[in-house]
Amino acid sequence: MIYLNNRIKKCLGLSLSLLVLVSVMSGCNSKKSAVDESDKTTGPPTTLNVEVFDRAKAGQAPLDNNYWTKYVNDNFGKDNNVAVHYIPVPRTQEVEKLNIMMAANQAPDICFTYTQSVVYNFVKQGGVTELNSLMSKYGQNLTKYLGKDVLSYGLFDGKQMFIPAMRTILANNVEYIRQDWLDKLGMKAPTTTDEFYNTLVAFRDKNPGGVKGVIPWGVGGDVNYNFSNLIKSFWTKMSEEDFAVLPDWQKPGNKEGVKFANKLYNEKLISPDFAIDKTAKQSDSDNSNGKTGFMAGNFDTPLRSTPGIYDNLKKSVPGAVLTPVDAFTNYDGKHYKNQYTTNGMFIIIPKASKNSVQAVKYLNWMADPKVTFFLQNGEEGTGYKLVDGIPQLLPQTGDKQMYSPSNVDYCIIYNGTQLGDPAKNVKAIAKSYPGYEAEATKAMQIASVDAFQYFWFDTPRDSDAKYAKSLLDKTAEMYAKLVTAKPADFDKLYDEQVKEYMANGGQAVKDESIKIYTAMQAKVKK
Amino acid sequence: MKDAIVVNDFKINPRKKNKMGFIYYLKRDKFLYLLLLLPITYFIIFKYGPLYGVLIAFKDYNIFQGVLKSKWIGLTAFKELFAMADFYKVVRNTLMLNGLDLIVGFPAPIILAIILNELKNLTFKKTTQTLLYLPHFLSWVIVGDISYQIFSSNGLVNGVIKSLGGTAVPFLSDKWHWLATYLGIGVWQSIGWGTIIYLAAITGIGKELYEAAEVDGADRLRRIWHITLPCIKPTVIILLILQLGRMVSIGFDRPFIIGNPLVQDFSDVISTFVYRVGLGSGDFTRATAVGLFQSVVSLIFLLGANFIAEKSGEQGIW
Amino acid sequence: MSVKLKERIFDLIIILFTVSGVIVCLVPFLYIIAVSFSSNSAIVSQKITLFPIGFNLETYKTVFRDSAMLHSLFYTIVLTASFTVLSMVFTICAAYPLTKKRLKGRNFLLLIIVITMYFSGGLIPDYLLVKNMHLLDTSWSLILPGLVSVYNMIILKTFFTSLPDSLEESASIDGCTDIGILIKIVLPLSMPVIATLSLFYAVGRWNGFMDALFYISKPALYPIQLKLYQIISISQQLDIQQAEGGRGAGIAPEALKAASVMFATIPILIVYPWLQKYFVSGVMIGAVKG
Repeated sequence: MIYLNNRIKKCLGLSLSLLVLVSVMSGCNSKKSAVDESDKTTGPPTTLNVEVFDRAKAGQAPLDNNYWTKYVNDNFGKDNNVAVHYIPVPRTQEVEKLNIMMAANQAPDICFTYTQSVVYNFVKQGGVTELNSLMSKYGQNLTKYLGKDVLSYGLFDGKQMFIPAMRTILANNVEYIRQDWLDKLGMKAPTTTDEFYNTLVAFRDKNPGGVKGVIPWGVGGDVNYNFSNLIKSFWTKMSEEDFAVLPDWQKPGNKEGVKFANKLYNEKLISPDFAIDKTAKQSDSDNSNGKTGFMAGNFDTPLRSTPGIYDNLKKSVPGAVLTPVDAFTNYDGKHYKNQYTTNGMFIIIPKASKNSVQAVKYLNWMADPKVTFFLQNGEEGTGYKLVDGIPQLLPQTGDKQMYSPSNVDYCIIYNGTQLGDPAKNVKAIAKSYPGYEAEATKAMQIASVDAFQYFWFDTPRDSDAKYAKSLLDKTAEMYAKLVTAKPADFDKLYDEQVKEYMANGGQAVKDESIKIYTAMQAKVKK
Repeated sequence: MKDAIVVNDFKINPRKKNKMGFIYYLKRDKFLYLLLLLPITYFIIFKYGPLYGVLIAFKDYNIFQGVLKSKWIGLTAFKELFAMADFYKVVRNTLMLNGLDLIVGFPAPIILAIILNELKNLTFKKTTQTLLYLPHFLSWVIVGDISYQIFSSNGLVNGVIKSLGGTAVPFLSDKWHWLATYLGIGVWQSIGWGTIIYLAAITGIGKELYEAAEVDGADRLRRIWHITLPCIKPTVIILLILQLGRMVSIGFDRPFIIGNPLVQDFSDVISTFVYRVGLGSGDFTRATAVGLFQSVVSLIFLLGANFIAEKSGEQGIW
Repeated sequence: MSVKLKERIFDLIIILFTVSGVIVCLVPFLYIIAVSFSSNSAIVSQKITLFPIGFNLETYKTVFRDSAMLHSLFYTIVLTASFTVLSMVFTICAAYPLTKKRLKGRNFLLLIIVITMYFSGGLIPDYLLVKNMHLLDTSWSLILPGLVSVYNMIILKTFFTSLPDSLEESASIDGCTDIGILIKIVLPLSMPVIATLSLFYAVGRWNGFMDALFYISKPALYPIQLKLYQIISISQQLDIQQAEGGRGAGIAPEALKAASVMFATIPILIVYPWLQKYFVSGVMIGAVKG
């Protein structure tokens, strides 16, 4: 095959060193300059690059040149001598692309992501601009309208490392039930877990819909999400520290909750194929076909126009009625459920950006209620019409279309409609589900009853950034195995699986959480 | 200067009497070297240029400091990897799935190509070829959706089974059944496409070979056994060697999309592992370490397979 | 049993086998075609098997009216064609010389090429290289980095090696130059393989989108599969829907997904039938005998 004589050895050596040299030279990064805090209001316009998500909507207008970008440039750009350019990033691979762009100093001046661990990594590696002085100089609106509470989610050791978008709807999980089935059986909507169980059994045995293969509770997609409220209702009293540092799997009562789900599965009360229905296609279909009597998920899942569960249900089963319910009660008689924390998308300015001043000014301008309103609603008459003092969005064509809820792709500092008044916000959100406003309002109201938020650590946890994704996958695997297990095997299996979970990063996260929690308590005592 | 080296060697090592200078070979084969200049330049710039990236596996990679300035950690990432129980599981699964693919999926296109070659009607032959490779063009996302509809416990196949009085088969939810389903879908997706290269090889077989054999009284099967197969042997061998070189690499899409949490024990492979613990957490060091591990093992497999082939008298890669 | 009967049975078995294979391969495609012509409510209710329910052309109208999709389609065709031609040229330039055992340094060169099949710098160094060469957001970033596939090159080299030496010897005795031998004798005889490898390159480029994801930010340069992937994969990522809350984060209706799949797939499907004319026996026989 190969015989390495002297000449070839010399060639090899020479060529390999040449190759290494070429390699090393191509790997050199250019030097980064210090953060520029000058104002630059005169001279040629500065280009400000802002990331924008590309959702590949059919027929979408150019994301860099449409009604909204023109508004931004006409109103912010002109006054500040800035030309705002939008850099499209495919929505489904935004994390991968962001990582690459940051590594090559190629990222836009304003970037954002929903994945916490990604931002933490950037902060930890020193790639993000610290915003304290910029915020105090140019960020008055942001501080005023987002508020110190929301902004504090972006503090690391007192340094503002990113700007969290404000979430205006905190509603998370809500259950829906087939009211028409209840009516047929002469039952009331369940308000406790026991009533819920009896209702499911009645659905299965009496089959009020007369369906072939009735599935009392349609489960599919993200299993953790489906069972969220049910399992949390089994949590018993625990100290604040336990609540903060224990993973859900180890929280007191969690085992009983999963055991209950296992009971439901073995008694044929939930979708038989839920564990392999990864995209929720089967459960969406079952829900739309009227095969199910109960479903749990996001507060608005059945109301959305895609996949259009309620729409299709009404077509397939005339007379079908879905009502939001609060079916699970805990040891205290409360409807314990979690809601989102008030921070939404994570907005960062890369350290390599030379336009951090303009970037903060841009975000600050966006926080002005007039601007926020326009970006989320458009002009009166063309973009929306006022109904009971609440803007109701009108359908748009051409480049006036919004491709994201509340135009979040452009109005990045808010996740959800922001009208300045929480009550108005709820009404506006409800109006965005034409025909289902009553259900949406009720669901949002239920979502806030006895709602809690997960503990927020003021220092990023390295272990969380490292293990978050694998622990998420492990959770999905555990649910699949535990809920479908034979009842006799459950207890042992649960303990085994939790052991594996802890060994695969769960323990590391817990240990670090305890450390930071203790430090936080010490700070408070001071 | 080159001639000086030759002269020196000549003096020191009389066995190299017949060695000519490099310039001689350059002149004699100048056309060949000229041709090679283009692709070699490509390889140097685009393949060796970025190769320093393998160093990421040995560094605590900070994407802002770059590869060269990041802190050196030596073999720490590898030690961590080899200490993870999950790592062995995913390597085992990768080898298992690839091994099964090799046993079932490698011969399948060969057999199909031979069968297609025996078709007499030319139009029928051409049409079937085009239709058979359609599955190759469906992205795995689509295939995943369809396979769910076909193989779930309320899906198409189980519907037929149930109507015939049987009980539902857990094609996707039991890990052993899942293996068969995974393999079957793999064969379905690649068999048609795989025939193309073998059909190209078969067209190179002279017709008179078949005619002579027919005259000698050989029937169809014997003609296939004694002519078709031996003639495509070089192609089969080289593809087999290349396939063996890929035993530790596995695509991400098929196991990820066809897999599900219930069959995790088998469906978790190196690529999904890297996605989870590497790229999903922005841990480039670990992802690169796994990649480097795969590269080294793959090269060893390839060289080994090639060595065995050449020792058996077959034409290998070299 | 008579020979003729044996042959007939053999033929029959072959035909049956082939037809069942075709059905298995064709059915999922027919399903997608059916979905692309159906109404959304029928699709979500999973009522569709092989025929459209609620037949309508709406989704196809949407796709064809989308100028970005049309533009992307034409761009991808041009990109794929140029890539294939360039790749084949470079691959031939690599495979042919490496066939010659008399070439000095042959084994070494082959080794450094084979190494690149398994060892690579990774995503970020690749990206930095493309960036430093100022190829970002250009079509060249989609052509140059993946220009030569070592796998394809080895296959071509194997085919070249299987050509009898006597052919080239007699040609050079007849006074043919090196270039002449390559162009007039070797290439024409290798048409089936060259056609096959061209197909491999073309399909590889057509179906590939990961590089475009990183190197291209201008929507005008998106290959069609990148757009398609966006459309079909967002429903796979449930966490996107949860994080953004409310009103679904832009999931395309199933019919639109199916129509887009058809739109992005059918052009490349017709390449192979067109290439089949190259899958003919070489004129070798006469040459060897002579």
